[in-house]
Amino acid sequence: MKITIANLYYDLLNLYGDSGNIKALVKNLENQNIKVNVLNLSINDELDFEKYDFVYIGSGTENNQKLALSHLMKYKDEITKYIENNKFLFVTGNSIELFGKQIIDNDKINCLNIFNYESIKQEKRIVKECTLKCDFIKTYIIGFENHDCIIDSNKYNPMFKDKNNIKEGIHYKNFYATYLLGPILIRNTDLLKYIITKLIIEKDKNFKFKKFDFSLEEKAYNNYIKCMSKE
Amino acid sequence: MKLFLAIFISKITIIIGKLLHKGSSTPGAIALKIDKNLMSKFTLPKTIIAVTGSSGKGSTSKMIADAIKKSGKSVVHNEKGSNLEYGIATLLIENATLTGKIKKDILVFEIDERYTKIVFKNIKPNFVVITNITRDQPPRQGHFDLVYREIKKALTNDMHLILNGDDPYLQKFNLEKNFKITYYGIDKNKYSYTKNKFSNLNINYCPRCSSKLNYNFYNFEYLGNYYCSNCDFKTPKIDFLATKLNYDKNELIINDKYTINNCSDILYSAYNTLAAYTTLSLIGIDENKICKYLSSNKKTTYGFYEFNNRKCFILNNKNENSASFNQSLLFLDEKKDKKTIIIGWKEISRRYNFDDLSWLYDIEFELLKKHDIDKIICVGPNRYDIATRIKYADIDNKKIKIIQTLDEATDYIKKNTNGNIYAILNFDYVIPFTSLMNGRDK
Repeated sequence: MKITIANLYYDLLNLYGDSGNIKALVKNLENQNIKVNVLNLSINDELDFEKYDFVYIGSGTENNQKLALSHLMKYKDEITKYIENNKFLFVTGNSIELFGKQIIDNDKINCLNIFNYESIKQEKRIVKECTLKCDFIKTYIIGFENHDCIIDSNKYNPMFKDKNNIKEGIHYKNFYATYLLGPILIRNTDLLKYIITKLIIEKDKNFKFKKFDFSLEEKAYNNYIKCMSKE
Repeated sequence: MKLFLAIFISKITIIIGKLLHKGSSTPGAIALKIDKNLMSKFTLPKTIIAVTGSSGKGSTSKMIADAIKKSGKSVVHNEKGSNLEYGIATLLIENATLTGKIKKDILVFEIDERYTKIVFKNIKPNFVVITNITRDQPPRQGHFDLVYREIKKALTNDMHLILNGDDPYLQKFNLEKNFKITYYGIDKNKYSYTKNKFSNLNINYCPRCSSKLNYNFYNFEYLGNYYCSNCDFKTPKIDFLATKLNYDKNELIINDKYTINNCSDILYSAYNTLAAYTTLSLIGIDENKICKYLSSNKKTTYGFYEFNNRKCFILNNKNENSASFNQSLLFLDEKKDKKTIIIGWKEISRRYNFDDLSWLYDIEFELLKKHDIDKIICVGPNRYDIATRIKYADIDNKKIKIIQTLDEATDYIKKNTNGNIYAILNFDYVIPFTSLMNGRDK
């Protein structure tokens, strides 16, 4: 089996260690003896969504986000089709804003409008640690946020919920988008396992899985949970 | 009267503070409470030099201040590193008469990037050195573009900027406002490289037209000799160019003519030395003398000693600042020996309680792959996070050793490892590690 991952805007949207998610996918797919082909693509490249099994977009500065957006806008129809066809799209940090209707900061900037929400710039940057629940994962999801807009995506199925059941992110078919930044697939191996398993099964229902080895990652995770519960 | 009272009371506080060995921002805070316009009331020296940037501001400003002293002029400098508004206020009060007059020739101060716009309003520098704007403390700073914007707000056209011309990002200052700028930089040398070594760079595209930047060579991360693939944006004409850099001979030669003899083999230290050199030259000190003054400084960038015939390099890093770790990795990447590496820290941050370690993935630990590594020891409260990062840099699991405390880790290094020792530590582990390796108590 061969899996092609498009690492979109790898040289613009790589602000908070987001490239760790690509490392997580590659290493653990390869451990399943799957051939992985990573395409690092950016604003000077032609995109061809027919060729990708998995698309990743990470977080960036507001400037770089706009640069990437103006390139991505050319592919609105292809991306919509890609999502509707159940293909995998994984989005971390402020790139979730690209998929709404508009980003409203000093200007109003049109986005892909695949989902009908606005991203509205806040006076103060949102910087916080998060421990969240997820419908399809038994364990808590841990992460960090650092962005300047908030989105009102309440009408959509969220990716996560906090302890007060406030929704976070969007989960639609195999579109996964969250404001959580950085290597969340390394920090949350249950989520990584879920996504990798689903990605493989879509290609081959009878795939014989090898056991995942997440011993280091799990110790880091447990340590974090332990520290959080002390506070 | 207010001014007199503010200075008088704070001066007493400074004396009490010194007796109690307390920090140096409280007196300034008290003075500003008494007189909120205090900062505008000082009679300042004619020459004022400010040094800001994500890293290197402390050592650069110290080099500048020390050399000025050696040249026979008197100088006021916040050498203890209190670089926020209150710290600068304390510094000025300490050196002022009761009527607010600073009777020194030159004021040199390092200043936190985000406080430039507050302090420069009243303490207006003639020269501003901006060493760099790197990834640094994301929870506090957001990101580098926001830091850039904050510094830009503080600058006015009558300030003379001193910038690293090898850094395309810093040229943004010049694209938006026309400043008087003097550039320093490092020419192609035996440590330069042509294929990019670092994946997560702050700038890959032209700050003028957003086309891809190309490089004739790199010195570090995105520092090097660059040109835009579309417009005429490129490395500017460098006024103070290191035409030769030789770590083995401790040699840094400027414009083919002036030699500084205490260059350490950390590239950032060479850049800081160049920034200091450029500033000193601009305030009129003879270049031969600058070389003499800078050459007489002690090398302080990293600890080095021999341990049972093994070299031990202690590299001082700043957590949440991937550039500082990348700098250490570049240092290590130039050495072809067998290595034992230890990575760790006590606290992620002194300033706040966020436990985010995403920045570990901005560091190019992948550079370690091609080296002959005996062990990588991950130590401290975040040892598993560090070990996980190392695992994803494709380092063989068997080489990764996870140890809880520095005591056990140093013990392990002494008894069970081979090769030269590279300690890549946050500054809070540097002193305890050094003591333990030397067998002394912490």
